[in-house]
Amino acid sequence: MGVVLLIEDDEALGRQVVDQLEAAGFSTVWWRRGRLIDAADYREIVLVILDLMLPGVPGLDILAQLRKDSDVPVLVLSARQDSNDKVQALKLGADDYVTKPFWPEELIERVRARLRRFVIDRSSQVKRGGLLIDGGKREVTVDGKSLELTRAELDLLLALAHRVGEPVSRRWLLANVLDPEKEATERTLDVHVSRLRKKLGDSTVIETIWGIGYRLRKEAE
Amino acid sequence: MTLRLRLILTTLAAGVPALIALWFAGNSIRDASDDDLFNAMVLAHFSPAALDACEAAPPTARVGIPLPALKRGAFHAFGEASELLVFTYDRAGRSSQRDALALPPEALAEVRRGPLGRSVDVMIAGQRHLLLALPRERGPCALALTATPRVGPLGPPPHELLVPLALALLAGLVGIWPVVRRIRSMTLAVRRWDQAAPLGLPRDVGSDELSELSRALTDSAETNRRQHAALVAREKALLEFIENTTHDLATPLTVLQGSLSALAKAHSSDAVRQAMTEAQYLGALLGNLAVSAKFEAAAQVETTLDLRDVVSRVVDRHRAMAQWLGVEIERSIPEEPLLALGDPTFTERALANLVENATRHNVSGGHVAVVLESEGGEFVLRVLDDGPGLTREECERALRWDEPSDAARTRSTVGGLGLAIVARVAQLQKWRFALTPGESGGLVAELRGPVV
Repeated sequence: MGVVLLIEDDEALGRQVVDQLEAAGFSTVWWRRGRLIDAADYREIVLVILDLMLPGVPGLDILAQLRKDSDVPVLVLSARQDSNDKVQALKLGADDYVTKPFWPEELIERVRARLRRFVIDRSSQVKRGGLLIDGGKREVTVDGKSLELTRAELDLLLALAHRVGEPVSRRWLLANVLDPEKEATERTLDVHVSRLRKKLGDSTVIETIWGIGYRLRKEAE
Repeated sequence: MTLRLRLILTTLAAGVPALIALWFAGNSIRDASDDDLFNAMVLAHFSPAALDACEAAPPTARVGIPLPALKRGAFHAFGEASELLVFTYDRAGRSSQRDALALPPEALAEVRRGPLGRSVDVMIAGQRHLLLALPRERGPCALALTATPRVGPLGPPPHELLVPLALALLAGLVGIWPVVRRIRSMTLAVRRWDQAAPLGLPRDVGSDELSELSRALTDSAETNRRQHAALVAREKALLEFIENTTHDLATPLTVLQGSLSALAKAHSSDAVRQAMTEAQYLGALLGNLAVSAKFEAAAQVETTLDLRDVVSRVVDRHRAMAQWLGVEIERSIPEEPLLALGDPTFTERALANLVENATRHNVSGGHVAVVLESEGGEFVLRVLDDGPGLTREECERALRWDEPSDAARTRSTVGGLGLAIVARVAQLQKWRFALTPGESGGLVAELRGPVV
């Protein structure tokens, strides 16, 4: 895996963020002044964390230059409560922003979210232990054996697998997965999920999320 | 020339000719009325029997037609006479009265041309008389002429007075038009005036009252403009001060939060958790103060937001706090973008306040769910919790952003600045905000608005 480039001029904050990123398993390079990113640097960089208020080249200029040659994800750090800055950064091609003050967990989560998108989008298969859900073939196997699921159960599992790790609301499942003429009540949804859990042989695969619905847990990273 | 003098002269220039013209017109009308009365009186006197008597014994003196008391003075042109004296003639203009005036041939021709019973004006020796054809073709009483000359009318007939009247009106317009034009120009300048710019009237160096008014308006507008500029500058300075202060505080507060987070991992204690809670509160306060200042400055930025990103950012921001308070926080967002118009900072701040309240005022083991959905052309953003909740009264009070309650000053109570800001943001962005107790306890805070 490549490096995360942090461009932040505050010594204390920069030190902290580097420590937090490395503790979370990310290799980090830290620039203390604003300067343009060379094409040679692009190969290794998988994400840029960019403060806007920098000595040297301002953050927005670095962003504009970067976007001419690269699609690497950029997460902007902003200390100003100014919507114009945020709008400008997003227009120039930033993927996300985090407003100071932030907790380390928040920053790490945003970094993971930016990096995770590539993983999820490229695969129509979800693997968890012996369980394999293949969205393309509409097949579910456990330890290589095909699982007998009803159409509603299969549709539910595939819908959850399509958004693995993300809570999916009951309302959305009722509206988009179950047959409204036959099955679209909360009670029947719960029954289908309950049967699915039994067939999967592992009740932790499908989590109940309070106030929302269900989530297919992704394999621990 | 002063405005007063101009108005007086214009009134005289237009009014006097108009009055004279009206006086002449009045006289002409009176004369016409006299003619009709004369015709009626003479024709009434010279009945067929009277005409027969006249033919039988042509009069040798003027014929007097008695005027009834009612009619005396009715002949304005003839004064207060008690009888009307006339000469009589035959159709050739010959009269049996020795002192009868000689009729000009053109008068005879005119009266013959005219209809019976209609008199004509005749000039004899420079004086006006009325000549009337009587209803008898022959005989010494075929025509009657006023023996006493009439006086008037003074001036031309009414239809010829229209020209001087028109001229009088034109004189009035010419006199008053420059005044009207200047007043109109001042009115336009005042209506178009933008407080940030000068009034736009050229400097008037005249000495009349309108010039004084123009200078007074210009000076007053300039004073107003300077005061407005000073006010704008003060507001800008205040906004900059708040922005700079929040900016300057943001980075050290981030470092503090990072240090506390590291400390909590090493030594989880109530003191550390309390410190983290206070740091979170400071961060929220900073955000709320900055947003409040922007409300005052009307500094809203409208752009298209993907609400999914807003939800993700806000929930991630509060995961740490939720974790150390023992509250489970989750969010649900649709797969497809859900776009709405709004200010990114205002919107995030509003949602953050809702999530902050739902988390902070919950109990250990409680839950917070943030759900974003699309419903009938609108987005619906709900923050649900199973904490202590609010009564209906407290829900209603919290929605009144323009009446900050004492709760705003005691952050230990639910509501206060946070919910007031949510309500204000919803109002500014034309969204709907509702707070309702949850079906099985807790609170449901809901924001709704149109999708783009």
